[in-house]
Amino acid sequence: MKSWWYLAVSLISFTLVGCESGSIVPGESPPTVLMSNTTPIPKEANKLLSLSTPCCKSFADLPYRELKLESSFESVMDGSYPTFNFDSGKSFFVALQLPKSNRPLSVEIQSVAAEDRVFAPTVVVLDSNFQPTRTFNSDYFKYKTASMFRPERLEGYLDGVAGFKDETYIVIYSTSDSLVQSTQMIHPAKQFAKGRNLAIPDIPDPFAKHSPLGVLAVYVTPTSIDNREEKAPQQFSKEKEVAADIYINEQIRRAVAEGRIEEAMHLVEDAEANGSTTARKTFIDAVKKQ
Amino acid sequence: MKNNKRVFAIAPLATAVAASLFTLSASAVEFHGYFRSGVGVSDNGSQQCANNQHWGRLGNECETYAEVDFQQELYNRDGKTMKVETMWAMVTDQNGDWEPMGDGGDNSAQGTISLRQFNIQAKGYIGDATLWAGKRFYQRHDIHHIDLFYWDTSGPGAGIEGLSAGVGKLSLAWIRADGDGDSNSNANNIDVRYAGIPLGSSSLEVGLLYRIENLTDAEDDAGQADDASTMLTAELTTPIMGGFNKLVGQFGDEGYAWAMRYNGGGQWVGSVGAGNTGFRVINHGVIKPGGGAFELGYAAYYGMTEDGDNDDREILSVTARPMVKLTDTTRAIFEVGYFQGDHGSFGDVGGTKLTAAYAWSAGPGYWARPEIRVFASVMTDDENDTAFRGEDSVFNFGVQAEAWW
Repeated sequence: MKSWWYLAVSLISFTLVGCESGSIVPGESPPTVLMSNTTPIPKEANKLLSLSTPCCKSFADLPYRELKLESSFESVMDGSYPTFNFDSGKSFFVALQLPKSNRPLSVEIQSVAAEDRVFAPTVVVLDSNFQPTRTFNSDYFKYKTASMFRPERLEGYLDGVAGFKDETYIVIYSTSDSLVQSTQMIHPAKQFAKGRNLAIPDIPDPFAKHSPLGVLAVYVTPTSIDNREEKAPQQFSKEKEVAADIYINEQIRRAVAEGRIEEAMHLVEDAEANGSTTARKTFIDAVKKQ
Repeated sequence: MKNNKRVFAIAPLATAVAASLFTLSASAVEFHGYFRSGVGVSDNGSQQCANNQHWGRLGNECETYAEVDFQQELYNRDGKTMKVETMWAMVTDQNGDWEPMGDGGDNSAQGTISLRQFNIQAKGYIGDATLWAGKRFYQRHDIHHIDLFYWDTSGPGAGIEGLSAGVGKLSLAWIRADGDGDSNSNANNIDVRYAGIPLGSSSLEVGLLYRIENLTDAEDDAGQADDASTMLTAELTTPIMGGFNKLVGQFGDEGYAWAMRYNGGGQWVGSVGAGNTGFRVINHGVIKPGGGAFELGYAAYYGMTEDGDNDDREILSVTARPMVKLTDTTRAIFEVGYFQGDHGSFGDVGGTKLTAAYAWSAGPGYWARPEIRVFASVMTDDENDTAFRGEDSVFNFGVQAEAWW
């Protein structure tokens, strides 16, 4: 019967451990694997949205937070987040300033889903004057099932933004249209069955209601030369691309003229990562002139 | 290749693995797998494990078990795809660092390695069905928390799976099942299943498993029994409380009569030729009552084999695994199990198990893994006073990791 005493002692210990790690300290960085059911249920979140007063009059006034290259940015959106009257309706938002880089950026955006709710992101990219350059609509972000390292989520990559193009900010928000929609998930029991080679149970999949609040994770990487052809479907203005080409070619010529050959070579690589077809010839011509 | 390249450029490890479930890029290798492993002690020497298919597996697994699975789509053209799947399974005693596996028969090994899958699954060739051949985990039905595979005819074979026919889908398979390398005879399972019959909000699946003993002329002349064995299964799946309930009725005769009492499901047979019959009724599920922090896995089954030569054999098992979410990544898990039955001339069997665990996991749900759990467990044998090294009960304590991906 001593077995039962051991069990009782263990139970008490577990209870103590449970109390300790169950508390959440405000201001601490969120855990790596985030769950969106830490945010209010959609009904409450909608109420918070309708009661909120927009923080700002224009994109220029938004509180931008700085993104760093290859460093996770995580945001657990709650009722204290600011709102803004977008053309598509009032919405909570996360406003971010892209890191400076000569290389175009790939911006990975994940919106973590709970079984019953998810924030459906729409992303507008702004130039240095806070003018929109392009918009990634919520259907650009696709549902992905949970895996070893990642929770269930809506996920999308904004490829080829910034670099030599004048793209400085992104604003992540949701539209009134997407708020009345939902995302069909795959039932966790089915995911488990697939992962373990079991017969998949014939049951309906849950739908996650789109909520005005959610949990976002953003990760920015510079584009390497090898995958420069991987452009986002949203095309950047051709006119602005030509302008960027002229600018960088001027920089290359000046660097060569001033004897900064190595720097000029780096600029050629950066320009090519940005899609330039004239930078290399500009460099060679400049060297020949010396 | 395009997609693959980008995946690796962005986040070498995490994204590559993340891309595996459900998303299929034409040439990316999908890495799937499963393992459980850990460390434990009992109040009477090393951790003691028993009867997990009767009273539950939580805190009741003493071995390390792993499956490593690689899949790759080798062909994708004009709506026709071919995927190859391979899997090795490994098990060791989990008693030290150096545990040799696959010793070739000299008994030095503390572990074994098994080739469990190597098959091709082809789609787009026969209607909406999957044409497959090779070694394969075939439509396995299990109860997770008691590790009971009650309908599982995996093995080397070939078949057509999921062919639309009427309201449901038809699957036909031929799978070898004797597992015997020494004899010239073999045994072959013919597996017929019809799934997806709608019954209200429920879905019914029925199946016939027919095993044919294929004797050599010499064995036949010697009068060796070659009676065919039959297993019939009907399974009703009902979506309830954010999860599912499965009600299963099974009947077996000859070799499959024994499966009903002894936790089989098509993987093996008992002796044939005695005209035995058996049946089993199972009800199990995983539900989320209240839709909140509480989830429950449960199972109850009764199985019986009518033994023509000896006594009848029975087994009754009732188990539950309630789980209470504490935070999004921590939870308390309990497991309660009770069983009673008889083992023919060996007498009665039965007992109870009570387990509590505290776990850290990658998510809040019942199925969320990976998970690391600290467990404490008491198992008491009601019938055998010396079941656990001379005592009728044992206390186990340990830490276990479990993951699938």
